[in-house]
Amino acid sequence: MNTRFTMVVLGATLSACAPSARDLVARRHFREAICAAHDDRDPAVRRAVSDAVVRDMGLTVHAQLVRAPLIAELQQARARHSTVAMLRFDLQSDALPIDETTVRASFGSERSLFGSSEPRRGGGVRSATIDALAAVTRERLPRARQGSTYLTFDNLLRGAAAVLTGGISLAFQPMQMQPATYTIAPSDAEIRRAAPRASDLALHVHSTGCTTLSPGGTRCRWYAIIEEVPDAELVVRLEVTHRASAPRRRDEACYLQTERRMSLGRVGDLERTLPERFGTRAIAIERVGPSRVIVY
Amino acid sequence: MMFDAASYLACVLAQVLQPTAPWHPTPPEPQFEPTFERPRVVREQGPSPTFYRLEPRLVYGLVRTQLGVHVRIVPTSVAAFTFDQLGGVIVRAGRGSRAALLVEGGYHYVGFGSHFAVAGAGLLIDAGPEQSDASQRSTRDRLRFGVIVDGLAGINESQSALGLRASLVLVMYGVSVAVGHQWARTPTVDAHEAFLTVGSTITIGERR
Repeated sequence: MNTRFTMVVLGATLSACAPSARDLVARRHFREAICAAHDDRDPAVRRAVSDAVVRDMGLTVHAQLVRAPLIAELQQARARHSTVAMLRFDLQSDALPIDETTVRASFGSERSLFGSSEPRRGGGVRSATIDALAAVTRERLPRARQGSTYLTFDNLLRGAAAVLTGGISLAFQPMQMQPATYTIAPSDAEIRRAAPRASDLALHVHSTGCTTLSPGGTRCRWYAIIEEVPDAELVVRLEVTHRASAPRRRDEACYLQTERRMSLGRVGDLERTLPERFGTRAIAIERVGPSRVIVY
Repeated sequence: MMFDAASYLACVLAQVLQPTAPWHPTPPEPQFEPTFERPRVVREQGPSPTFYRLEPRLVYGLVRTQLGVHVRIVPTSVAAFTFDQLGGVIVRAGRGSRAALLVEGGYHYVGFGSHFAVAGAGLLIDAGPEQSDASQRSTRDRLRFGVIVDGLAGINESQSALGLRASLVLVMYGVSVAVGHQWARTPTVDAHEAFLTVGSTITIGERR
């Protein structure tokens, strides 16, 4: 009796019970589950929590090719040499009780999505930044310039010291003003002047990134520009990375990152396969096709 | 000088007369908007537990400095100044636990001519209020009770002495108050003393 009483008292006072990650997930206590998975060295636990989080996120996606006269013109001009297209990718997630979630997508192309071959370096499918667009339109963007200024904190201190000490400080530290250099990015007007066609294409890229919906959920949109040699073996690779994090008391936040890599189809067949696969409605991300999921 | 001015003028003219291709953007065509289901709002079932979001670290350092008064009760009634300088380790019983084991050691001086080496252990209990949200700072260790038993070995009134002392410690925001009883035995006398000290207790490695 005494032993049992002692054990009960010790159990109540000396340690708190650790809930299982499975129970936490079942009750949608995702923040706790993320920290449980963060600490657990068992990959199976991390995978189970990650699967539950992603499943409840209800990720739905849609992909389509963007129609633009300049794209058609470029495609026509290079019909024999390459495929030129612009891809739009939309994603939506439900609202989960997680403090912070981030989703990002990246594009690429390679011969075999799940095989052992190395991804093509500098592949022809890239996020539609102005640099990528200018590469497709064969325009050269203006370079960033280097500027310099003598208006620096150090120089101000030197000057103030010389004034306040009546010039005595110059005996110890000569008045040699050193300029600081800085980078001046080209202005929009300069970019438009140097790369009007890429700027024209950039008008079709809008609302990139993620927005929070009301009453909850997230909608994201990304664009990719494709210029690929006609090669039936090349597929468009899409990587959707999802990171869920929960702040931890007195410590760094816990997080669980899931990377899902999938194929959107062969480069040359996108015109046909994307409408077939996605239609007019967004579909669950699992229905896009075989995917490889990596949990960090 | 003339050459410099001419160069400058040529440079300015080149900038002004630089042929700029007028930009006539093609208006973007409206893009097709796919249909998305209305997003669900998933909620937790029941109050959110807090265990894994608590700090996983279980071991901290501790430095305790106490100043106060010792009152000798037996064999004579007399009071003296006392000073303690102690260091130790706190080992929390588990994540989320309010209980911790304290192991400490150091130096203990009493104005009766007593110099002791101290080594002991005790139990600390966090009694501060719990925050409902794990993202908030914890306040449970802002109020902490402890029961500590120390062994003493040293000199008491120029005689070698051994002893024990039991302390009840209250720590609030790093300020510690200790009360207790000390017994020290020398070859000629057994001394019983009560003490009250105030000082600081600083934990090392414990994030706030």
